[in-house]
Amino acid sequence: MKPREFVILPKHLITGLLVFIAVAALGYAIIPQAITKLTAPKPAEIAAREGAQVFLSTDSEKGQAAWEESVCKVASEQGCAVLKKSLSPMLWPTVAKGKVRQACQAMKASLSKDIPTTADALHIQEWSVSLECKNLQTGKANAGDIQVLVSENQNGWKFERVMFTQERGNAAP
Amino acid sequence: MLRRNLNLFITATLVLAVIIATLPIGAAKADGGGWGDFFDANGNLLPGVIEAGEVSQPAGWMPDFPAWTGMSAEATYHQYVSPSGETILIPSTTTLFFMAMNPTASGLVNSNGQMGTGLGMGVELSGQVAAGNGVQFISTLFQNLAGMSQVDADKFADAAINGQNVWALFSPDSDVARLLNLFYQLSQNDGNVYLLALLYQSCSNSPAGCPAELCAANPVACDLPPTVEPTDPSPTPPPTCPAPSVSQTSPSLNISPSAPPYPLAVGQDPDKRGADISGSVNIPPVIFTWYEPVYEEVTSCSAAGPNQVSNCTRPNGKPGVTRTGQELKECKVHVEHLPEQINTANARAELSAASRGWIVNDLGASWYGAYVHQGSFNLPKYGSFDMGCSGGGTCSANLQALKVPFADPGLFNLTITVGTNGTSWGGQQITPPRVLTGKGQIKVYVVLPTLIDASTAP
Repeated sequence: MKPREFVILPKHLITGLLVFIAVAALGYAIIPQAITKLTAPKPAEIAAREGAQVFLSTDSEKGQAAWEESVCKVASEQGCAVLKKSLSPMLWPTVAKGKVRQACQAMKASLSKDIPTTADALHIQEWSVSLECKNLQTGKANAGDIQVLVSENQNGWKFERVMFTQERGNAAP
Repeated sequence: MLRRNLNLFITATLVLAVIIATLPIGAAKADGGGWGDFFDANGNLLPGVIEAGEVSQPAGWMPDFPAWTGMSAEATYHQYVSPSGETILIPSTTTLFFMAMNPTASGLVNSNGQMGTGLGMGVELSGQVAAGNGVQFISTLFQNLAGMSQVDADKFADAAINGQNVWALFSPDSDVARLLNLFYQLSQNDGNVYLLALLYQSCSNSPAGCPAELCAANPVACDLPPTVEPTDPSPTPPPTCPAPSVSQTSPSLNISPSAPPYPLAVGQDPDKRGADISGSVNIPPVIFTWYEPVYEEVTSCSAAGPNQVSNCTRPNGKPGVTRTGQELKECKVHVEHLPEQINTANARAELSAASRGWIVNDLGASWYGAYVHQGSFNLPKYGSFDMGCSGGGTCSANLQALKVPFADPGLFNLTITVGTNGTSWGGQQITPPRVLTGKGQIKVYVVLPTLIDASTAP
């Protein structure tokens, strides 16, 4: 049996090289973007993560007003108002007394509940956010989960507030 | 519906603010206590009432976050405490809401009265709750606070009074957020909206407890045992006058023969002259110095008793009560010259033992049968005492005994003795009575014949 011969012409080499370059270029240009797009946090999740981070990142040395401002930057108008008038007066005394200085980083978040828009209320989502908080003085880290409410308005998703422990499942013992 | 309730509530809140600012808080109790212990008829705080101001403290019945967050919610009140411990507590809107959710744990049911918008005045909540009627109060509170419907408010009130988990009644779409926002809107006009003022007969029963200032000033009001006022480590005694003093110069007592220079025993003296004896006693006055305190009336602020109402501020900054007292202004010196009067006087002459022996032994050897005729005797029977006190306070007794018939030769010891009454002033004995004695001597001579051999004379 006479052996078959494959003759690779220069034009074949050039064509193959061009195809390889095209595929490589396509991979570099599109696939990462696609992966990024597929795995990127949703705006509501970003709002929940950012809100949880700044809400728990309290620095007794910087003071109550600085904390409120940092939260209000990522919060809705109502969330900012509730924080300043209702939550902050209740919560800050413990921060001040405990000289709490911590920086928190959201590690992951998952949607717990989606409450559609009603006539009286905005579109609300409840997110469970896992955070790690590092003590700025000792370097010691604490971690845990909190429930965060975010709302959607014409400016997109904004942080509303962190839910109380007693609100979890609405039936905490 | 919610907006209508909100408007009504804000209006009522403003009305209440005016009521509190102007009073009279009309729910003053019939026994004179209650609101009337805090404010006068013009709505001004009474003296001694402690305005503790905004008080924040941990409360188990307030909502919280996980412990790892380093945050927890504290109850916030505006607190007034009377000197006797009665307390007016004005919880923040948010705090009041959570108090209503936990009426027993929060101490809401321990309130002895309250006033507020649409809630009536002077309701004895604790009794109402005990009788099962507190549900209505709590329900009304929920309606006013959160704009709940009658049905929802009743459900909340039932659960709260029965100690059930009221959080379970919140709908899944987070009414809490709406409530917190509602509270914000209520607070827009005033950072401290006074929705309800609670009265507690004792601060120890109130959720906010007793202010340290009150417990320091009046421990009994804080249900603490009464403590003795801390004393100054180096107490300064109150100014007093010096103690009275007594001084006296030593008295002088003398007794001695005055004539003749060589008295003879009267048995040998043809003239029976005897001897004259003089005695004198001089007792200087007692100098009694005393100080008369002169007081003036002064007003001061001192620590209040358990049931006293403070009306002034003490030098240490703590509340006290006004007291009027006497303060020493000066000490007026008085010097009294007190005469020490003589009540008895006597003088005696007593032959010395040596002279007795000489008479019996020596003289008796030459003159057989010699003996002591009158070894001792009182002198006044040969004279008299003259006693009295001068205007300067010196008291004296003088004896003149003339021609005292000393019957025995020898040395006589003379004594003069007086007794005194001591001294007294204003019915008080200053110096005690005493007996004073002075001593002297007299030599009584005798003439003895002597045989002399004249043949040997030159």
